[in-house]
Amino acid sequence: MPEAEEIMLEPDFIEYDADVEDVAEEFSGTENTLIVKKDDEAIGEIHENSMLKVLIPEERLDEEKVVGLLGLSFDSSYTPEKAEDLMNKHEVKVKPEDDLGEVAFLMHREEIRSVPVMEDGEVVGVVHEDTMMDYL
Amino acid sequence: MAGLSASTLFGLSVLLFVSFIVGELFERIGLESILGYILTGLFLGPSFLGMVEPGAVQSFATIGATLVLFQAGLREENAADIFRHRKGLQLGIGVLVVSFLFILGFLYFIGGQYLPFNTMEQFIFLALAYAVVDVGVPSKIMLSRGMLREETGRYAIKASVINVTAGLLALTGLVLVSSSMESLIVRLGGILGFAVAFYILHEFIHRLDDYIIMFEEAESQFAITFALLLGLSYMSEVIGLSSVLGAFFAGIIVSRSDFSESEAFQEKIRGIGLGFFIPIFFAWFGLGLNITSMIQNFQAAAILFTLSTVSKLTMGYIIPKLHGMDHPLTIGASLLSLDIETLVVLLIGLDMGIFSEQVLQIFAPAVFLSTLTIVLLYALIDRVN
Repeated sequence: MPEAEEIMLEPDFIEYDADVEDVAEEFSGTENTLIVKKDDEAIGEIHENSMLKVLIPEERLDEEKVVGLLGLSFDSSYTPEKAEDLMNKHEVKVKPEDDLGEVAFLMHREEIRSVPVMEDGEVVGVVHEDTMMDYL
Repeated sequence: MAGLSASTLFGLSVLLFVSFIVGELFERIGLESILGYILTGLFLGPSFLGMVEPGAVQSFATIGATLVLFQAGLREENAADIFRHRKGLQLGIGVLVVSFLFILGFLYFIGGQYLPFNTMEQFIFLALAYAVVDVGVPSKIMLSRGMLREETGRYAIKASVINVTAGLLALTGLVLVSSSMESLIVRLGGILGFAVAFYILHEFIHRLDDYIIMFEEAESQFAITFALLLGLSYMSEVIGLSSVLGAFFAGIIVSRSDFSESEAFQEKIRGIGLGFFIPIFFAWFGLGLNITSMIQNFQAAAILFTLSTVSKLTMGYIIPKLHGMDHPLTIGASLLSLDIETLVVLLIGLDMGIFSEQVLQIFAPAVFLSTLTIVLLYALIDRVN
């Protein structure tokens, strides 16, 4: 079974303070994951999935999902102003030596379409769902 | 023993089923489902139908109360990020501080004549409880008006989140210093032990992650999380802090683990909390309400509600106006609700022996009065517009 480093692609980066419009423009290319950087350090990633939240009509939103019971779970990706509002703080990541099966397991469990590959605290690549299909 | 189990099963099933039906109805008419859960408890409890005994579901309600704070602790860093919103910070803190001082001043100088409270400790807890706003209602209002993603909506909600977070921090400090001199040394020793345990778990839980994730036992992350939640809640209760504060700290510890960030884990916590324990907690609160007692205490309820409403509406209007925001009255009105955040402060006061159960009979009408006030104010704003 191939390892993550064999199937990963070059990561695409975006600055944490980029406008939401700039993020959307980046996604209009082929990327479905952007790595968010601040002071040259990767601090999280944005999946296309987070952009969907911005498009959901407000009448379809549940306030408990947006703010949580006491408001401390406020999910700013529903009301984003900057790239960092849309960002997940490395919720799921894999190592270069993780095999395809482990990567598939994590992506399936977390319902995500791509996952960053981290080595020594740096993002060295991104594994995309469609790349994995080649190994079926 | 069989009878006890049967009454618990019956109480839980009826309470949960009816709560969700009534909660759904409330959601459909634009009110919070929590109100529906409380009303369900009131009508099914000893005050009206007498179908469910509060004691039959109390254990489950206790876990529900801890889960409310645990979930808050689990995502506390989200709230910390919001503190960078300068205008929201000024509104949130402004409403909290001014309302707190206004209510405390009234209670200190003339409150004792009209309210069944007379100690400074009670006044401070009451002032804090009624100075804290509710987050659910402004969110609901902004969502229903399509303003959530506009500057006004973001401003109002972020201000509310800041107000509640700062209120909870103040509450933590208040709990730590609310101690009689005789037991201060013992309590400080307990708090120190708790703080050491918290620090060790907080700093090292991510190292345990690698081992926990390898457990063959099904749902081991969930089981360990729950054991930690209940254990810390117990510890904090034993040392004289409230159990729900221990639950909040357990949430912060678990938030440091890698597995807590997975969507699968969060879905489980949300499901078991919002789908079972938390509705039972609110319904249990309703079961304990007594109509006669609420009527007898209505004067106190009305005074506290009025103090809270006047101070919040004044500050909630003036500060957005100074910030040059559109719809300052809409923003001010969205901050008036008294709900779960106030209840948490009062329950902690109750837990620490500062209040008797009477405080809940005084608080309950305020939930309905504040909701009614908001509905009327918005009807007025719409008519003027």
